[in-house]
Amino acid sequence: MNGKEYKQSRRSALKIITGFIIGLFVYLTGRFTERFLPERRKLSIPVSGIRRGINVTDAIFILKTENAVKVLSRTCPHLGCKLAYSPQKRIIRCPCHGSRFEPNGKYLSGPAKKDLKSFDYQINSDQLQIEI
Amino acid sequence: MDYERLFQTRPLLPKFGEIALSSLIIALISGIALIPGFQSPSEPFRSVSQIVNSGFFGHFIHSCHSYAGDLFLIAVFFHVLEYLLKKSYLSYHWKAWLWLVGLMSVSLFVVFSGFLTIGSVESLDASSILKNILFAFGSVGKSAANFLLLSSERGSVLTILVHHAGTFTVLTVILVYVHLKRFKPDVYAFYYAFILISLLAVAIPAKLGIMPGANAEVVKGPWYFRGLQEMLSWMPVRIAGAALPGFVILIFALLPVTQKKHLILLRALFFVFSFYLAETLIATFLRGEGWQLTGF
Repeated sequence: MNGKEYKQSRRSALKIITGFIIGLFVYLTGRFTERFLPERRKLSIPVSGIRRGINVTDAIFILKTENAVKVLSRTCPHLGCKLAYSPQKRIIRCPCHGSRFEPNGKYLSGPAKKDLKSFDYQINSDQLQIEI
Repeated sequence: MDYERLFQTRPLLPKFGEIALSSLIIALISGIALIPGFQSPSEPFRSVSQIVNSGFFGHFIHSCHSYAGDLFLIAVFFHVLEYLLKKSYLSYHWKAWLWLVGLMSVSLFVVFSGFLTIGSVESLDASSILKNILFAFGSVGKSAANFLLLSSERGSVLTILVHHAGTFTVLTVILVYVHLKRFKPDVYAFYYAFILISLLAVAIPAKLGIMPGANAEVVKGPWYFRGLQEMLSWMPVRIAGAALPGFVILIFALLPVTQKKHLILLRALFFVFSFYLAETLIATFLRGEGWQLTGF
């Protein structure tokens, strides 16, 4: 191996090592950030404040019928936009991509192709407690 | 047709590359002036509203920053178009050309990350869309989403704000320097951009968007991503959000290495651009409440 070839092979080796170090750094950074993901949020809503029909809060819809309460996510299952409720059309709609859902969370049309996520809840001393 | 002539006669209009560099510098200076006003990353919309409502200077600086970002992207677009039509890529080594493709992508991200820091309904939804598109890339995408938007899980824009003011800005500045070997724009172009941006900032204050928490009936993203938003409403996420942008970047990257067939790639770029423009126009003018088509 002459001097030029030696320099070229050293350069190639350094490139491979640098690529490996960058790859390792990106992987470890990804794993590192996962540690800082927040735990599930707990919401508490006064039962007396829930009226019949759809109740819109920042993160959830609460559907109250004659004999049941259903808690639905306000996040679109397509790409995570915050859903809006149209009282005139009695329909839940995604303002970003047009997915539509019934007030009980059942998928109607649009790119979401899934029903809205529903959450379990507990009622403790007039408080509806939900973990989202 | 001799496309070069399109860019040869432009009375009073400086070179697009110089306008882009001038806009970048105006965006940097106005961005530095905005930092003290950005009081709380956990309540970004309130912070930006306070800056805008603090008086003429606050509103002026915010609008200058916003319009400088927009002008930067527009000037970069025409600069790229001009040099594509002049077939300048044929004189580049493919490695040097890749740096330019990188600069183009980072330019888009530096402006978009600024949009994500506003905290309006549009901005929050755009963060969720970006996160979910990245999730489509499996664990690598999930790591990238966490890296860019981790604090959004807690309703804060801190992570993307740091990337906007730090990571993407530094990368843009470095890549611009690698491209030009200078950072001083043409004085005429600088004054041209400064006067244009200042007049716009005084006459039409930049919009903040919809207040978070509002029951928004329609949410439209920034003008340069409206076409993507429209595509996402009828195409699978992996195609609209990953394959098509990847395809465009690949075409750009391949231009200097396909010496004989580069015209085919240029035509493909033109077709993709025309399609994207049509989608942008549909999203901007024909989408109404609940993202339904209106006006028919």
